[in-house]
Amino acid sequence: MPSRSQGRKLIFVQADIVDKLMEISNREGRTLSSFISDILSDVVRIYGDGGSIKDAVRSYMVASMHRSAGIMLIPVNLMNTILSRVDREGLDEIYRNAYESGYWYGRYISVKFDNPIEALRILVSSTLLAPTDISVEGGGEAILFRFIASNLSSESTKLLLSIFEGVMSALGYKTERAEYTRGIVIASFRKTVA
Amino acid sequence: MPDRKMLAARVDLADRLKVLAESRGVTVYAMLNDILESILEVEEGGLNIKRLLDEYRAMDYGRRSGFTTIPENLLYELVDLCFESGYSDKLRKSWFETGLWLSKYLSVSSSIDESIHILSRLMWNISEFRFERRGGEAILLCFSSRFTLNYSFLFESLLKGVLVGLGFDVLDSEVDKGFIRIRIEVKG
Repeated sequence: MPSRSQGRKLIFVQADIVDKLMEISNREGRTLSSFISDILSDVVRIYGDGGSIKDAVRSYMVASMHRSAGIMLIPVNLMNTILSRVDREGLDEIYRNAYESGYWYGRYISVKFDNPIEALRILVSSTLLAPTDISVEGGGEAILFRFIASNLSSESTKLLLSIFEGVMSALGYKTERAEYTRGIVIASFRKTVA
Repeated sequence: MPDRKMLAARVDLADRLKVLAESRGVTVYAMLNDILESILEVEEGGLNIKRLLDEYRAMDYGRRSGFTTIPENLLYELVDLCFESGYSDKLRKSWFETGLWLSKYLSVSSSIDESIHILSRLMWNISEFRFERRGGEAILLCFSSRFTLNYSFLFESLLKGVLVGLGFDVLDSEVDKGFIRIRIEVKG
């Protein structure tokens, strides 16, 4: 049970953990108490929202990957607005370039990871930051890619599908089936013979 | 049982930990050890826990407010196409309005400085993002060697929307390729 002392509560912690944290706080020139309070206030908020430090680490890794691969963030509504202003001919060119960008990204992750499909699964789950249903299923010979994101326009949906097709091509998969409608994609891919 | 030590935690944090531990059916001791062990793993892995949590918070805002990812070069190409087709004014208006909305969304649970900080974390393609208060004024400076001129204008509109939404008056601004400088009046 925590006990109170001058606006603070004393709580038990495993001794070896306290010792190691003390080393870190000393290195940063801070008291252990201020170091812990500062971090705990963020951690408690994250846990309160249903997250964890593991989620934060994964999010950080994914963001670092995106950053170094030239991927940026944009509000979905702005992507929808921009694409709605582009004519048919311009859109076709954009989709081609999106495929090429995806192809480059696929090459990038194939070089960076031993298991690029597994890496893709993790990266894709953060591609659409808004609440969405997105999955990369299977592995080996066949891959099924699905996503549902109600806030995407038809053009934005097609853009993301083109990027994904490019990624899969770079990973050695050809598109077997690619269906999309506003905010929904179902696509399947099969490994090409080397 | 491992040796234990006492740690002085802020009352509000200790109370919140207690609530969290109860909701998960574990003791405060187990919950806190678990959290602190994770923090140690992060630090021992060469990452800075504070920065990591800071980024996670920004990403969480991005997730909740409807951000998505796009290859940077593709976005610049799209923007150039739209500007060449004569849609620059319409696009700038929509980016300004999105900036207004974002500022309202962020400021519900964050201070003005925190809101600008979160925004700067979300705009990770920017090389330098600075918000400096100088007396009754403040300057927002933004540099990115990769921005096109058209995108610089568009992004300026978004930033102006954010600043106006946060209650500032824009005094003047300057835009060049990869460079944005907005001077604002700080009231009160």
